[in-house]
Amino acid sequence: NGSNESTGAAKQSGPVKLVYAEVNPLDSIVGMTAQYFKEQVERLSNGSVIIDIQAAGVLGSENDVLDSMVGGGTSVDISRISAFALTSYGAQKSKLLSIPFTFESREHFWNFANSDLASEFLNEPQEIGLPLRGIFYGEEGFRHFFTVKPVKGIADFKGLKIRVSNDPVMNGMVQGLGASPTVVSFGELYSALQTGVVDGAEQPIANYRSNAFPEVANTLILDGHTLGAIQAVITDTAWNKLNDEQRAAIMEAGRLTQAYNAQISEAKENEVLDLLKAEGCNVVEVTDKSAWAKACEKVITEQTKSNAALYQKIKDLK
Amino acid sequence: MPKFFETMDKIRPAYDWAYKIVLFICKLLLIADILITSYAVAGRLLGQYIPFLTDPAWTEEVVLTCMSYMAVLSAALSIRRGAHIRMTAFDRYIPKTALAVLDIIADIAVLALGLIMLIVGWRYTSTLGSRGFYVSLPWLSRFWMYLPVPVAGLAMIVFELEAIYNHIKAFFVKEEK
Amino acid sequence: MDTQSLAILVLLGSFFVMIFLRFPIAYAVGLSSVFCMLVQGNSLNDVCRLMVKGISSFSLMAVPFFITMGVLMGSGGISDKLIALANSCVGWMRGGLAQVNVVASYFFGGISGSASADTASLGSILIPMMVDEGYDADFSTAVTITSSCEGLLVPPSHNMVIYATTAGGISVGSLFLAGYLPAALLAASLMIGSYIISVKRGYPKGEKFSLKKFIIQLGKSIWALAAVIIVVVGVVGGLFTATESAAIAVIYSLIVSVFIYKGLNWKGVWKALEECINTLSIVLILIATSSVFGYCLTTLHVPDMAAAAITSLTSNKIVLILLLNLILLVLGCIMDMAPIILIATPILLPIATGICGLDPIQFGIMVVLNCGIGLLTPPVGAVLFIGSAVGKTPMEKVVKATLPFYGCMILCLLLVSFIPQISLIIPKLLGGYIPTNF
Ligand code: NA
Ligand code: NA
Repeated sequence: NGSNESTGAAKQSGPVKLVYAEVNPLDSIVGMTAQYFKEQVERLSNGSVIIDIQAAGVLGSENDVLDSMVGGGTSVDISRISAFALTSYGAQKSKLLSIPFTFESREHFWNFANSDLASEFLNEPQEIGLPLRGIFYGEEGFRHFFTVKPVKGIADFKGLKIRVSNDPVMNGMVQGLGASPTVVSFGELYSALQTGVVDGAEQPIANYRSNAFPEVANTLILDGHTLGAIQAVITDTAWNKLNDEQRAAIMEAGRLTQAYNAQISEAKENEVLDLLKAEGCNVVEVTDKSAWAKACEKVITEQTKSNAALYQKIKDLK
Repeated sequence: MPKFFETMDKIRPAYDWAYKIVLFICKLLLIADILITSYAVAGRLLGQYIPFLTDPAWTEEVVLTCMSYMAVLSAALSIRRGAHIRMTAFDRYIPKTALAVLDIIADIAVLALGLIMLIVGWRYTSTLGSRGFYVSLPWLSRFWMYLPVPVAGLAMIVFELEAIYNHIKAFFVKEEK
Repeated sequence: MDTQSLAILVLLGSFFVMIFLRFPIAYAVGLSSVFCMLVQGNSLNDVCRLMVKGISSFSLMAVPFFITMGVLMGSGGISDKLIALANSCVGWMRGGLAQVNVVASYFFGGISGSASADTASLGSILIPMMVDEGYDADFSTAVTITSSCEGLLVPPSHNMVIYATTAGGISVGSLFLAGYLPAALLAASLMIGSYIISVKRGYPKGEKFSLKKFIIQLGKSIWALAAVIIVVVGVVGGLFTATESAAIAVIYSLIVSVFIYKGLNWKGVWKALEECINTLSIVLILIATSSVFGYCLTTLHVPDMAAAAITSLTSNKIVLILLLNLILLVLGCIMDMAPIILIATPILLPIATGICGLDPIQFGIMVVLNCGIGLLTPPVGAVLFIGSAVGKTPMEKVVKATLPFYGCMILCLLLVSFIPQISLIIPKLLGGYIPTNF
C-alpha cells in the first residue's frame, strides 16, 4: 500500500495541499458545495490547508477516483462521491441510502444526515478496512425518471427500455416497475435517447437539464425514487499528513458544508424545475408514491435484508 | 561463444509455443467480446418476444475486461514480431551498429517498463482486489479488472528477454542462414 | 523550477527523446508518463489504473470490432467485386482505371476504414492492371495511396471512434455522417487531378458506360455494401449504439464472407483473426498508455498552457486554424495516425473549439484528414511504404508522382477547415447531428 510514501510530509513547512476530485462542473450543486468546503477549510485552518478542486471529471469518474484512493494512490486526497459508490467496495450501510423510496422527503434525509446515525455511516469505510473516512453528507436532489414518449404514471412503464447504471439495486428497481433496464454509457445516453436505443433514463433534475436531455426526452416524471445522497471522503494518507488542528478544521468545515448544501440544494432544484416548466418540459407530478414503492418491494427487501434493523432506523427518522 | 548460443537456442520452441498459446487466448477473447455484445443487442431488441433472451447488466463490464486482457496480451505478441510502431524515419542515415545499440537500449527500457507493470501492477491489483468488486457483479473481485496490468508486465518481460537475446546474439553470430 | 514545470519537462522531454531513440511509441508514451509521475511524487498505482481505464470504454470497443469486420470482409474477396462496381461507374472516363481506383476506395473505405488495408488489397489488384494498360507505375501508386485515405473519412471508421472517445462527449453517429461529404470532396478532387494528368499523358479510357452492367455489378457487391448500410442506418436510426452495430457488422460480414461470397472457409476465418489480433495489438496498447499520458497532460494543465502560448502569438482565427493544421501536418510527417489522435486531441481540441470556434465534429474531420496526409508523407508514412512495396516503385519516385495529389488533399483540407457546412450539413439534414456538450 501507498501509506509509507506520506510519512515525511507531516514535517513540511508551508501549507498542506489536498486535491479534491469532483465529477461535475463548479456551477452545479455539488460543485458549489466543493467551493464552499474549500473556503471553509482554508479559513478555519488559517491557510495551513489548501484545497485544490479538480472539477468537471478531470480526474475521472467516481469509480476511477475511488479505485485510485482505495488502491493506495496518492494523486487524489478528497473526493465527493455518490453515497452508494462505496457499495462496490463492500460498504453495506452506504448502500441503504440508495434503496428506492427510502426517504419520503428532503426533511427525512436531512433528519438522517444530521443524526448520530449519519456519523456511524460516515465511519463505515474505516470499519470495513478501507483507507478512507467520511467528512460530510449532502444531496444533489431527488432522482426522477424521464422519458422520450409521454408517460402519465407507473402503468406506462411496462416494456419501456430504461437506462440505469449497472448496479443490482437500480436494475432491480426498473425490473420491479415492469420496464427493462438497459446498459448505455452516460456519454452515449443523449444519442441513445434521441435515436430510440432507450426510451428513458433517470437523473437528478439539475443533471437532466444541464445535459440537455429535455431536448430528446421531454417528459419528466417526479417519482423521486431515490435521493441523490452524496458524501465526501478523505484518504488515510492525506489524513495522516494533517495535525490535530487541521483535522478539526476539516471536520468543522465538513459540518458547515453539510448545512450549506442543505440550504442550496432545494433552492437550486426548484429553480431548475421552474426553468424546465418555462421551457415547455412536460413535468408529471406524482402525488401518491405508494404504488411505486410497492412495485419495488422485491428489490427493497432483497437488498436490505442483511441490514434490516439499521434500514428500519433510517425509515423511522422521517 | 557460438556454442553458448546454440545451447540457448534450444529454448526457442518453448517461445514458439508460448506465442501460439497467447495468440489462441487473444482470438478467444475477441470472439467472446463479439458474441457477448451481439447477445446483449439481441436481448434488448428481441427480449420481449423471446423469453430466454435478456440483456443482462454484466455484459459491459465483462466485455471490457476481456478487451483489456486481449489488448495487453496481443501487445506482448507484437514485441516478438517487432511490429510496434516506432520512428524509423532516420534509420537510413544511422550506421548499423548504432541501430543495433539503440534497439538494445529500447528493449531494455521496455523490459524495465514491464518490470514496473508487473511489480506495481501486482501490488495494486491485490490491494484493490481485496477491497473492491465489479459494480454489476458484486461477487466478482476487482482483482480481475486490473490483473491485465501485471499479466502484461510478465508477458512483456518474457518476450523482451528473447528480443534482447536475439540482439546480443546478432553481435556475435554474423549472418546465420 | 517548481515541480509542475519539471514534471511537464520530463513528460514531454523524455517522450521526444525516446521517440528519436526509436523506442516503440506505445511504450515510450508509457515510460514518459512513469517518469512524470515519479517526478511529481505520485504513486505508480495510477499508471496501472489508467492503462486499464484507457481501454475500458464501451464506445472504444467499436475499434476492435470495425477492424475485425474490415479484415473479414477483405479476406472474403470483396476487393475485386468493388473494383468491378467502380469500373462500371467511372471506367468510361479518361484515365478510366485511375478513376476506378479513386471510386473503389470510397466503397472499400466504407468497409475497412484503414488506408493501409485499402492500399494493400486494392492496390495489389489495381496497380498491375493499370501498368498493363499503359499507366506509369509511379502515377498508379500515387493514385492508389492518396485515394486510400478516403476510407479514413467514409463511415464507419475506427479512427473516428478513437477521436470521439479521446475528445469525450462527441456523438460517434454524428461524426460518422460528417465524414461522407469530405470524403466525396477528396474523391472528386483526386478524380479531377487524375483526369488532368491522364489527358496530358494520353492514358486510356475503358468501355462505354452501360446501365445494365452497373446494375449487375451493384447486385454482386450489394452484400458487402449492406454491411456499411447496417452500421450507418443502425446507428443513426437508433437500433444500436456504434459499438453494438460494429459487433453485429462483424457477425454479418462473417456470414457474407463464408456463406455468400465463399471467399473464406472456417479455417480461413480462424487465420483472419490472427491478422485482426496483429492490428489490434498495435492500436490498443497505444490507447492504454496514451490514457496515462493524457491524464498527466491534463492534470498538469498542459492544454491550457498550450492554448495560452498559441493564442499569445496571434488572435486571428484564420491564422490560428492554419496553425492547427500545420501542427497536425508536421506531427503527421513523423508520427503515425493513432498516436497523433490520442496525444494531440486533448491539447489542440480546446484551442479549436475555444478560440477558433470550430465544431468538435468538424475538427475531428480535420484531424483525420491531416493524419491521412501524414500517412503518405516521408519520413514516416505507413501507406506510402506499403504503396511503394505493392507498386514496386522506389519511395522517392512515388513521392514525386504524388506531389499534385498532395495539392488536392491540401485543398480539401483548407475547404474542410474553413467551411464548417462541408462536415456538418449531412448530419444536420439527416437529423443525426448531435451538438457536443462537454
Ligand atoms: Na471507413
Ligand atoms: Na485506391
